[in-house]
Amino acid sequence: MTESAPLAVELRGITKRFPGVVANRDIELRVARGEVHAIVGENGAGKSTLMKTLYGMHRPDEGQILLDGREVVFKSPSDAIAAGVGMVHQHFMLADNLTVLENVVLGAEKSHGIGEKARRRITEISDSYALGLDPDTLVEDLGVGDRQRVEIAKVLYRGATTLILDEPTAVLVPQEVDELFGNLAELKREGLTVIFISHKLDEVRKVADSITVIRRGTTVGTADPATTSAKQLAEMMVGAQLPTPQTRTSTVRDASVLLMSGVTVAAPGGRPAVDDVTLRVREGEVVGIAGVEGNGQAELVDAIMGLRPLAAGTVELGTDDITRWTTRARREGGIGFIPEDRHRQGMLLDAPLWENRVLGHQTRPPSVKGPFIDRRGARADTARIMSEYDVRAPGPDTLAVALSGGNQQKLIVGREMSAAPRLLIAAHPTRGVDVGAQSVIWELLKDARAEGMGIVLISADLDELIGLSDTLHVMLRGRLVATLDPSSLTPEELGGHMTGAVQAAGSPA
Amino acid sequence: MNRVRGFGTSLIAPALAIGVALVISALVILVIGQDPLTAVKVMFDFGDTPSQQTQAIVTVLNRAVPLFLAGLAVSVAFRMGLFNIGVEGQYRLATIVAAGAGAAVALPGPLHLVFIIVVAMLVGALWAGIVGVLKVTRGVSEVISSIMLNFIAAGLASTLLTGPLRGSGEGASIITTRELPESAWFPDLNGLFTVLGLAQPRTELFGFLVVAGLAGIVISVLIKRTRFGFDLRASGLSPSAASASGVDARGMVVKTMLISGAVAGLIGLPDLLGSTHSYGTEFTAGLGFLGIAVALLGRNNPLGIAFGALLFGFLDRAAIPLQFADIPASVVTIIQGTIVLAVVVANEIARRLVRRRAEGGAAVSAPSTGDGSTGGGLGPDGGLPPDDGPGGAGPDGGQGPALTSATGSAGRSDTTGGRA
Amino acid sequence: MSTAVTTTERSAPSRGPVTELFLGGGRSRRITWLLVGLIVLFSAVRVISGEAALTSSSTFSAALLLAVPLLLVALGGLFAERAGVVNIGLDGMMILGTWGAGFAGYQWGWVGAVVGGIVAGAIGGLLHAIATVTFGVDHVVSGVAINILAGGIVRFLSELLYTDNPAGGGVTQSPALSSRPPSFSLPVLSSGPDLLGDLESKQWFLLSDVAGLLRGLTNGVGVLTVVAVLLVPAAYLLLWRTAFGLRLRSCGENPAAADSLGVPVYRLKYIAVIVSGGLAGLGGVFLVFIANIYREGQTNGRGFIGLAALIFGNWRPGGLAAGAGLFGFADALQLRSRTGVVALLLLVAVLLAGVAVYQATRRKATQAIIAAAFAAASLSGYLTIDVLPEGIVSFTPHITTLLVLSLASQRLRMPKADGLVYRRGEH
Repeated sequence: MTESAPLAVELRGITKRFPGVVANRDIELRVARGEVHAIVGENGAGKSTLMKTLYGMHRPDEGQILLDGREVVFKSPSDAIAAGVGMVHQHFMLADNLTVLENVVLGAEKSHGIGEKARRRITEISDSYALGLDPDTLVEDLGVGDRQRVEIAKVLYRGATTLILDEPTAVLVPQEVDELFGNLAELKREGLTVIFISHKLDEVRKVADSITVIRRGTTVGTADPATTSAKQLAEMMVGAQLPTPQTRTSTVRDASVLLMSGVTVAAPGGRPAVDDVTLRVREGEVVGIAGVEGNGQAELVDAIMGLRPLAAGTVELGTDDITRWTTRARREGGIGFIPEDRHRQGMLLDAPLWENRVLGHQTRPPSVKGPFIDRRGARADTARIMSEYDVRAPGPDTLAVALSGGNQQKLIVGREMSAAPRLLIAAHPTRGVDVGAQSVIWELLKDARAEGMGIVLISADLDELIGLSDTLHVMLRGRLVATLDPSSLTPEELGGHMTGAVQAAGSPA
Repeated sequence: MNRVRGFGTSLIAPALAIGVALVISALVILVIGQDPLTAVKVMFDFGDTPSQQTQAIVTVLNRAVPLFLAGLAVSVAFRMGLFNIGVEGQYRLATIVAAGAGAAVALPGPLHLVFIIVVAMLVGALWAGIVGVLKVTRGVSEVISSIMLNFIAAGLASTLLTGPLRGSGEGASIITTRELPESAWFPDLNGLFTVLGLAQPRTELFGFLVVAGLAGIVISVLIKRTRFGFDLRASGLSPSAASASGVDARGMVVKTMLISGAVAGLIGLPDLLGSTHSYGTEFTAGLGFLGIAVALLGRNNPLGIAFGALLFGFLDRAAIPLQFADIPASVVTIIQGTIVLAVVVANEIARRLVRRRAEGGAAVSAPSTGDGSTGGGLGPDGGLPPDDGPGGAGPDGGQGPALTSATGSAGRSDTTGGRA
Repeated sequence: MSTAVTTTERSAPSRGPVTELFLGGGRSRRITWLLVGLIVLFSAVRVISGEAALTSSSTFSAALLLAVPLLLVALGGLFAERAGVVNIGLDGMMILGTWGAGFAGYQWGWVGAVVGGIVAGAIGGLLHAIATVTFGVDHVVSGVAINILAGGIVRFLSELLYTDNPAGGGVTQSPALSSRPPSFSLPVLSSGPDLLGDLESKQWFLLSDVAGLLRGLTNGVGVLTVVAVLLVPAAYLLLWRTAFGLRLRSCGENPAAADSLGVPVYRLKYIAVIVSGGLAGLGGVFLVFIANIYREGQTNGRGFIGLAALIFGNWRPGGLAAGAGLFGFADALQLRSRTGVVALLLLVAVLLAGVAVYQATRRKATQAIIAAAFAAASLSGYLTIDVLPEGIVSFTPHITTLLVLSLASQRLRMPKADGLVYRRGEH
């Protein structure tokens, strides 16, 4: 098919490397003018890095960027903006206490001033693209959908002809998603080009004209939503080869370690973060929770740890009702925690390793003797953990910040395991960890499981989930929408459940 | 070996800061046409006779003791990420109430002293406790509330002094509370000089030095070696990690302020029990702010604070001899102020260097994703954002950095809306 | 409009015309009514308590005089904090301003004093900016350090320049200013025939009080006072109606967003803090004009009261002016008539009772009870106390601020990124 008009955006052979990792490898992208083009891929596939390149936030190591047939080089986002590329970030950059008008014109006051003229221009844009924005509302008073539309207005105000939306539906409820798609249709009608990054296949198929699939940093292929099914897309995203779980004997016992009944956690803005979740973990069982990030997993963890209050439901640990227990009491009662963000919740970066070993366990030996911290005991135990769990560092007095991510994580795992908890919450336990440390941690978790520990495993790494779990739940929009058997799981099935493309028959609504 | 090296590096910042401050001060002295070296000589000139020399030592130490206590009080709060600017008001109120209470009872010697000390600590703790409670229940920034409470304390003290606690007669130019009976006079340490074979000084060395030393040891052990101290330090380093480890954040704020206030209550006691024996209009104010300076200089470490207090005490004593050498005494205040500014700048730079060097050693560190792309198990998008924890040395724990944000941030809490 | 109200139609209950008059019409009308109500209340209290000083023109004159320095410092705080930098060092910058005014004033007259004071204050601001913006030092610590430093510097410079100076002065004060700034009065109403003064002396309910208010504000008003008052709307226009002001405010709300849009965050913060120092310095100039010399300790903690006025005013020019006015009024009343301050207790009792009722109707039990308790305490205070001790009166502004913060912290809206140590790339 001959192309009479040049492509709005074309990327040829884009490669971007970071220390130790290749984020994008030989990426090809072709977007026609006036098209809504989706880029799909899993978390960590390299989509965002690619978009940052297109938006001028960094330069590619290899490859070319062409806009309307001409090659361009962006040294900064300002160059991209000047070339008509506008980026709507996933995490909005808005000042709550300022009005819509003020947020939109900030930095671009020269175009239409900040008074009547600007107001009229914004109203114009809002009407043309059906954004429904009142320039004088405070951003603080706006819901998420409206805030996103303010971000869209921001780029349109600056004359963008190509819009990049980074995971725009991540924070929207279904009605807001429909509204957004209406907006995109308007943009298309006006001749603008939209590039749309997502991993939600059902939505992508609804709105995109053309889809590019990225996996592990490289382009896997393009697809036409009209002729490609969600399942086929999921297969491309996830890869036809799924790791088969090692055949191993079941170590699951009968006694229940954790029982969450009807747990609901509220979130600002209507939809609860955790919605009526019932979950059981037995001794010796690894319960995996799969799902795209942002669907309530973090809040679920907080609920188990007592870091967030419950709006409804109960939590039982063994035979105790711990719904009202403090975090400290829960830890002392035998819950271990490997947090998702170790820097924020798992360690004290500016403190030495032995103090980090004490963290979370400052009420029990060996860290503690009476009301005092047992420094010698803690240091000795830290040394033991370092050798047993292969933590590579000069010694227990090294500052935590000096260790690599993998070694930090191994320390945390060692510390939590050493307390012999009944229940271990492992949230993304191998995130940001090198491959060697990853397999060590997996072995540790398997051994712990064999000894009767119950483990709640939350992860975005399908290898990890399928390889370790005895039972696998899928979490979507705060609810557990499917319970699957890892040993007989197909990749399409898993991907489909995670992205909502497939409704499991008879699964809890 | 590592220990020694670590200790050395932590000394560099304050040493550098003092050096810079001294250079600036030397320049200032040059500007007025005097010789900086003369100034230095004068500052170190402790007098000709042995008695004068021991007297100089006594002056320095006597000045250093309250400063040490002030720094100690401030440092307890700093360790937890709180900014106790209210030390000024806490010690003023504690001193006058303790003076009034002490003069109103009659107890045998040691008991009388204990009574006064306890009263002072309770009042200081109470006044500081208000700040803590307001912060956790109403989200009021501890910086603003402390500053306001300082003024309120000054007003209350003035009211008490001219009213119910007045001891001086009508028309007296200097008003004081009733003088404490001798059972409440802290014995001095001049015997020490005789033991050491030195001449007797003219005035007395405060015996409260011993109490201050004890306080330093107790606080040091509390913070470094107890479970509570661990919780306190963890809350200051990373409030989120501390919460995840089981620390009750709100309770910690209140308890820390109570302890800080209790220590602050002691600040006025060396002078009260050792020389003036009453609270009056000649009361030494400003120790609260100097305490902040000393705590920063000593990096919140009791030994460092002791050194800082000695340094400031030494500078204070030098004011008079400097005047005799035609150098304005206010040079001392300038030196002290410059030291404070230089120290915080140096601390900040040092902290960044240490972090950067340590992070550089970490292999395969993923680049931080500034625009919040979704992280994942694979690839660099899984990079973790840099921890804002102890960050910019701000007093507000809530905002992340230990010593961050006051009125707002700096020292502004994030608990309930409002001024964090 | 349909005449029949159907059950499915959920319209807001219509308000009667009187309610609509009072509560409708938006914010400016509500504020007008508030002011009217306050004037009536003051009048009533004056009549009941017999304290003429409560609404006399001399009180209002003094109030204006005492409010202006607070106003200027608060405006300084506004600029800095709206740009995201906490400025605890305002007191120190004011001190530098007083010294600068004294130094330039005795040599070059009152114009020189203005310039000298502003420049001296601005230098203090520059120092704060360097420490906080470039070096990323915690804002409060830097402010405290500047306060300490300022005290030492002015003493040092005075010792250096004023001892053995033929023009006079000494270690703690400068020689007298060589010229005074001009002042104005309204021709017919406040001077000469002084019609307002006449009306005021008649002591009629409401009319005399208003006359007192107007005369106090228009008799013998210095040029700097006029400038200061004009700065309030000027600050509003600058910060809310210009591109510069928008950018500055964005630095205090979300500096990362501003940075991403090309706003020069560091530069704006510098400007804001330097301006903040200059304004505090101007406040110091005003103090020097009142006394006609620089004197050590002149500021008397006003830098912090100004900060309190800023918070009280919810970081808005109008609000902080009201705060400065309120604090200045309390200060003036206390100077003119110690018994007058007791009459204020009655006023406070009535106001708090009103607050208690208001909170009760909104079902906020604890807050209503607290307000009622304070109201009762206030009332009993009024009835029992003759003269408030000076010490207690001295902290009226501070305890007011504390109360406002504790009761209203939810409604106070500080700039979101105030006090945040902003390092580009770390957010």
